[in-house]
This record gives sequence, C-alpha cells and structure tokens, in this order.
Amino acid sequence: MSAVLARWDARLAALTLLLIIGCCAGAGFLAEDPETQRPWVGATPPGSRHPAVAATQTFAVGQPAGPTLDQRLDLEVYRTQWSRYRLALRRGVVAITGPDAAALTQLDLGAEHGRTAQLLFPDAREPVAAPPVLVTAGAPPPPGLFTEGWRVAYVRIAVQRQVERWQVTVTAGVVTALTCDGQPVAKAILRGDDILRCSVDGRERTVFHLLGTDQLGRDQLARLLHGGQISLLVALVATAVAMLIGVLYGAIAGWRGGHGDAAMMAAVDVMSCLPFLLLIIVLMAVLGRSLHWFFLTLGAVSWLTTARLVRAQVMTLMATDWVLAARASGLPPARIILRHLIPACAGVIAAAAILTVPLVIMEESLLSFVGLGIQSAEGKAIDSWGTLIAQGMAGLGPGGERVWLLATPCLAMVATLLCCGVLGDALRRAAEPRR
Amino acid sequence: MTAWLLRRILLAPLILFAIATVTFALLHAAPGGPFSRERKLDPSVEAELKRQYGLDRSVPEQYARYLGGLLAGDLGPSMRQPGVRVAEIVWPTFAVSAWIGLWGLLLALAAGTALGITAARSAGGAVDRVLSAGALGLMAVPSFVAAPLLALTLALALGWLPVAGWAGFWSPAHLVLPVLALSLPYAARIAILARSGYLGAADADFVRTARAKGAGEGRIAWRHCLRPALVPVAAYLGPAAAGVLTGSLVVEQVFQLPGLGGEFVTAVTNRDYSLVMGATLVFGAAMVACTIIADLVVAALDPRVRLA
Repeated sequence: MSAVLARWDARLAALTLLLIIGCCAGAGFLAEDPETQRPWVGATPPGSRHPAVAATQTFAVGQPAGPTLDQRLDLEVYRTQWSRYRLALRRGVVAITGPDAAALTQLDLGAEHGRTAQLLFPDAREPVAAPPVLVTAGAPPPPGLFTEGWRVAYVRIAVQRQVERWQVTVTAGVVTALTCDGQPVAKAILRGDDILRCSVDGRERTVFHLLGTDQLGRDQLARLLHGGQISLLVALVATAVAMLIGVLYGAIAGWRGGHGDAAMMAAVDVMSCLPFLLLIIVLMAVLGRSLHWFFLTLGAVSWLTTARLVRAQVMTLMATDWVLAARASGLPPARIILRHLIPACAGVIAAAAILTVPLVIMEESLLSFVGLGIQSAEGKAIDSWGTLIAQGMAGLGPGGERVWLLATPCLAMVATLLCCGVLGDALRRAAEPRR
Repeated sequence: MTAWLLRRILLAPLILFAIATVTFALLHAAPGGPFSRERKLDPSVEAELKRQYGLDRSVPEQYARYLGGLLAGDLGPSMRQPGVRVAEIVWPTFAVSAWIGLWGLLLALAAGTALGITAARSAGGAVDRVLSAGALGLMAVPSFVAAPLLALTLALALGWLPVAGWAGFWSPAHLVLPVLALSLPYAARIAILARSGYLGAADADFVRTARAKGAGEGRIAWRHCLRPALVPVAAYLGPAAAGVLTGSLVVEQVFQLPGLGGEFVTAVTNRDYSLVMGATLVFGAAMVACTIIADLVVAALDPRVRLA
C-alpha cells in the first residue's frame, strides 16, 4: 500500500475520493430539518440566502400550519403588480397596446429599482427578462423582442413592489391570528419567491444555499450529496458483483490453460464488443428499475477487463514452484484457486476493482441520463448524478443562466472518475513487477 | 487469412442470432405489451390489433415467424407506429448515428494517435507530462458530461456553433459538437495506448538496428515505430466502436439528432417490440462489423499475428 501511495497524485486522489465518499455517506445521516429544508420556487444561484419559509405557504385562521406548534411569524412580503402590454409587428413596425387597450407611443423596458420587465414569448412556458430597450410605436422593433415566426409578443412590467408586513400567530399547530399591515385577514397565500424576510418569534430565519437551488427550490448541495450516495452505492456493489464473476472466470481460465482457456477468452473478446448497454436497457424495461437489479445487471456486464487481468496474472503464477508444490501435494483445484491463486492476485484485483468503479458509475449515469435511471419500489425516480446532469441540462435556461445546476454534478462526477483513474493507475503500476 | 475472414463472417450471423434470441426472450418475458396503455383498450380492438401483429400466437411461433422474416431481410412492422415498417425507421436513423460515430471514431483515432506519439517522442519532458495528464483527465469526462459542457461553452456562451439540431449529412457546423463530445474520451484513451505502444517499440532491437544503420530520428519514428505503436490502438478499435455507438444514445439526446439511439430509447419505453429488436440487431451488426475490421487492421499492422 505504501508503494501505491508514494506518488503525490495517488495520495491526493485517495484523499479526495475518501472525502467524496465521506461527504456523500454523511449526508445520509443528516436528519432533515423542517425549518431549513424547505422548497423554494425558482432557481437561485450559489451562495444565496433565503428566509426559511416554504414555497407557497397557505395560512388560514383556524387551519393547521405545517410542522410548527407555537410560533409567531413576522414576514415581509413583496406585493407585485404586473401590467401587461401587447406588442404587435405589422409591416415591420411595432404597435404597442397598453393594459387598458389604449395604443401607446413608447414603452421603456429598462429595469430600474423596483421595476422589472419580463417577456412572455408565446412558445415559452416561463417569462424571461426583457432586454433593456426603448420600444417606439411605428418604428422597427429592437432585436430580441420577437421570436422567429411570431408577430405578437407580450411584455409584463412589475411596478410598485410594495412591501407588506404579515404577522402569523400559531398556537398548538393552528393559525390563531393573521394580520397584514395591522389589518386582520382570514386567509393568505404567500409565494416563497416574494418573501423578503422572515423571523420566527423575533429571530431572523435564513437558509444559506452554498450551491444554490434548482428550479423547484431544492438545495443543490443536498441533492448532489444524495445523488452521490446512489451513484457510489451502485458503483461499489456492482463492482463487487463484477469482481466476483471476473476473478472466478479469469482464475479458472488461467488455471485450465490450453483449449479451455482459449475458448473462455474468445468468449470474453466477443462479449466486449456486444451492445451490452442496449441489452441492459431492455432488461431494465423488463425487470423494473429497482436498485438491486442495477447492482446485478451492471455488475454482470462489467467483469470482462477483470477477467483478462486476473487470467494473465494466474498464468504467470501457474509457472511458479509453489503452485507446482500445491498441485503435487494433491490439493483439489478449487482449493488451490481459492486459497492460493486468488489471494496472490490481490494487487491486480484491487487495481481492476478501482478501474471498474468509474466504468459502472458511467454506465449507471448514462442510463439515468437517457431517463432510465433507478426507481424506488413505488416507481418514484431516485436521483443519481446522471439524473442531476440531465436535469441540469434541461434546466439551463435559454441563455444558460443556471450553469451551476449543470456544472456542479458534472464536477462531482468528473472528480470521482478522475480520482478512481489515478488511483487505479497507481495500483496497477504497483501490482506489475518491474520488467 | 481468407479462411479466417470467412469464419468470422460466418460467425457473425450466429452472434446476431444470439442477440436476437436474448432480446426476443427479454421482451416477451416483460409484463405488458405494445398495446397496454394507461387507458384500457376495448378488448375486441386489442384482440384485433394483436391478431394483426401476430401477438395472439404462442411465443415460440412468434419467434419462428420473426426469424423467418429476418432471413428474408424483413424487420417487420412497427407495433406503435401504424403502417410504418421497422426498416423505414431504423435505416435512416442508423445512417445518422453511424455518420456521427464514424467521424467521432476517425477524430479520436487521428487526434489520439498524433497526441500519443507526440507525448511519447518527448517522453519524460514537459510536453509529455502535460499531454499525459490531459489525457488522463479527459478519460474521466464521459460523453454525457462533455456534451452539455461543450454545448454550453462553444454554442451558448461563445455562439460559434449551433446549440443543437440536424441539418443534413453535409452540414459541418451541426456536426462539430456531437462528434467532439463523442470522440473526446476515446481520443484520450487512444493517446495513452499509442504513447505506451510507441514507447514499447522505441526500446525494441529493430529500432536500435535502424539507428545503427544511420536512420534519422524522423525516419525511425514514422517508418519503424509508428506501426507497432498502432497495434494496441487497433486492438482497442472494437471496444471503442461499441462505446461510440452506445455513447451516441446520449449525444443524440443532447444535440437533438434524429439518430437510432433516441429511437431505441423511445421504442423500449413504448414496448415497440419489433422496433427494439430491429434497433438492437442493427447496432449489434455494426459492432460485429467493427470488430472484424479491427482484427483485420491488427493483422495488417502486426506481422506476428496470424489469422488462421
């Protein structure tokens, strides 16, 4: 082991790998804190801070209020008023219609303090920030307002973002009093995005998102750690399965030698060129995509390299005197293989194992990426790094604004694969005696 | 040589037959079929549909009929797209996948070999260290990570290339990103193989002889070392081709290309039996063909390999 870790890159890789595994495993022991693990509407960039309130909170006097028992919530909430404008393109010039159906001569889309303009493209689901331009009726439109093939665009401008002060009193889990700017109200629906500040019993509550949140407001770091748990778990167990098959297969082929060995290795050669991933995809559709099938199927197709390496090592060991002695003493072959040959291959097996781990991680992520990832028994998707990458790509936004959703899982995966590669390389070099 | 080629070509249908059998068995072991949807079909309609596609017969009979069709070169009708033959879907989409795969493989070969030999020629030097570290790093970037990151940087941020889409076989701008994403990990692997192959050859006796005869370093590199350096690369061609074809599944999804990989994934989720079978067989045939070509290339490069 010390020979393996002599190089600084192997040492660094081993440490990083341990860190990644430790962090991901540790995330499983974290109890979910109901006050901090609440979803938010909309994606927020890394390092953002938010008041700790759920995405859309509904409070009604006399109704239960979530997990809290006795609290006084003070909330500052933006009240946004949107006015909607219609921009039409006629003969190359723009016509502007205001909220009250009156024709306007000019519309300023520049953002100022407390004033934002958003474009509602007819073919987009969510509004996008409007370019800060001045639109003049009767003039050609500035670029970016009309998508190709559409002659109408809608712009909404938020004006007068007033701050309202809400106070919610919860006694024994039931809302007993609800006021807005001092006036009692019967019911309130508050969007998480609009909540500016939140304090519970006078104490300010915020949640810090180190890596930001996704579109559903889930903390990206938490998702990354939980996804890593799944990816690494599949990788480790499937690798163990692959080792079991590969080591036995390789050892038996190396032990037999001759025609038996040739046939077994020819089979491995043929198999290494088969579209296994396609068969796995079919298999997943057949068996269902539960965790234990992933362990088995991914393990069952990832043992080929291991078999080759172990066979080569066993072939050289077969020529040694001590194997000859073991055979001469009449030990049964199974005992020689299991007690003598396989333990003597420990170095090669370790190298093969750590080189199989990235293979399995990639296979599992590829399946998740094409939408055939792991599901729980109830058919709910279990997110792994591959799923996170796919979702990050889908949620990039039109101009790639939400890069962190894609970059963070990619980085985590590449770091893991790289560490495994470096460590595997070092192990293989240590296992190979100098020629 | 001819006998070997003949044997391999005769073995290929056997492998394809095995793939067909396994896929067929898997598909028919699955609960549900092409006509089970959320909304229950009228029993008489379902029975008629099943009769039309021969699904009302026993499984061995269906299997025999399918194989019979295959022997006649018929992949059957698609079960979820009425009136469309599987061949009409599979071949045009496979052409797209194969086109991208081919360019990806060629790029990986050219770039990988060139960089690997460049690294080997300055073995131990700064160039070698940078290239080797870069190759090791790139090997850890699978296609489904490289593809979105490349699209993000080269297409979205810099705007040099179109983000996605397909504009025919001869539209290089749309091809660059998928081909690049597909080939990067394999180029890295090939560079490492070429480097070690070249270094192995550089120590050989025949290189010393060549040097003793007074051959220049350039001549030694290109005339004497290149061929043995390419042997491990050629041996890797088979697995690389398999990897590129499965990688196309991802790349086609990211760049929205009308390839066979995307068609296959939809067919599996739709339980379109005949389309899944057709796609698997076409992919399998492509991989078997690649393996045969790879073996031939190895034999051509390495005179010690006898194809008997």
